Amino acid sequence: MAELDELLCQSARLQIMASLMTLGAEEQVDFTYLRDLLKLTDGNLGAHLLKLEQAEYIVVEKTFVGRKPKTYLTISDKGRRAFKQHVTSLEKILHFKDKK
Amino acid sequence: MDVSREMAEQSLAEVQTTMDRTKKSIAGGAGVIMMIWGVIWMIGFTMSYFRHPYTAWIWLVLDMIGITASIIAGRSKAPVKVSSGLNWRIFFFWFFLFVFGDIWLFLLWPWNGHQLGAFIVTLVMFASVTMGLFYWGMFFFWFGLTVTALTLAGYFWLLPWFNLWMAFVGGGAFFVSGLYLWIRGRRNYGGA
Repeated sequence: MAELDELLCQSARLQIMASLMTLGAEEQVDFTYLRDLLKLTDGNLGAHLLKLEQAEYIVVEKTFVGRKPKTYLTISDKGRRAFKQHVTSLEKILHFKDKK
Repeated sequence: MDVSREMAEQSLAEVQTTMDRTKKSIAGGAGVIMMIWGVIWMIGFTMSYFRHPYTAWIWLVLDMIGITASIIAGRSKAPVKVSSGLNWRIFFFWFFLFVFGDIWLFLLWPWNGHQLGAFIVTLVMFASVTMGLFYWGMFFFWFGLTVTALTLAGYFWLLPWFNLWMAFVGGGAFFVSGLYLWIRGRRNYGGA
């Protein structure tokens, strides 16, 4: 049976990772942009990001633009590998159950 | 962990939808910049067509406005921050594109206003095609090819009206494509 990543089985976390996967290796996305794109609240997104950061799937960079605090997010190499593995596993489930 | 076929299918659909929405909303930022250049082309080429005595100066001012507005729009509207290394590489790409453009113009002298206009437009479209292939995505690849084809059509078949053609067809293509990207970006962005 295909190995699924339990952390990515949660819909919001999977969407966060899918969104970050579209970025290049040298690109970061703004916290508020991701919050609005995925229609999540600040608290909800923050909680999911914390879990992904603890797993070292994403890198969170907190900085100031002028006097405004800004949080930028990017996906790590480990995160990319985990996401690809998870998607492959989902596809295998689909094909396996198709054949049955 | 046991996941049903429906759950797997739903998760994969979510992944695809989120990736599409992210790409489209990010490209929306470029739409603003394209609309700016569409307006600049419309004004500049219209002035060129009517042979305004200060056409060269008007183009210089318009280009300065366009570059400044593009930098401001890029920094304030873009949700994506690129690393300073990549930023510099993109800057040098455009810088050297125009350095080489100037070298070729020097080597190809003498040229007339129509040839200069067609050269600059196709040079920028070459950048769009190249960047589209390697970085920005296929929309910019096709956009570059389309505007190049329109430019050549105007140059070979409508030379007396070339500048007017470039103002409304070239500038219009820029503006409409930018508007399309911007609207598509807003539709795919939850905060819109």
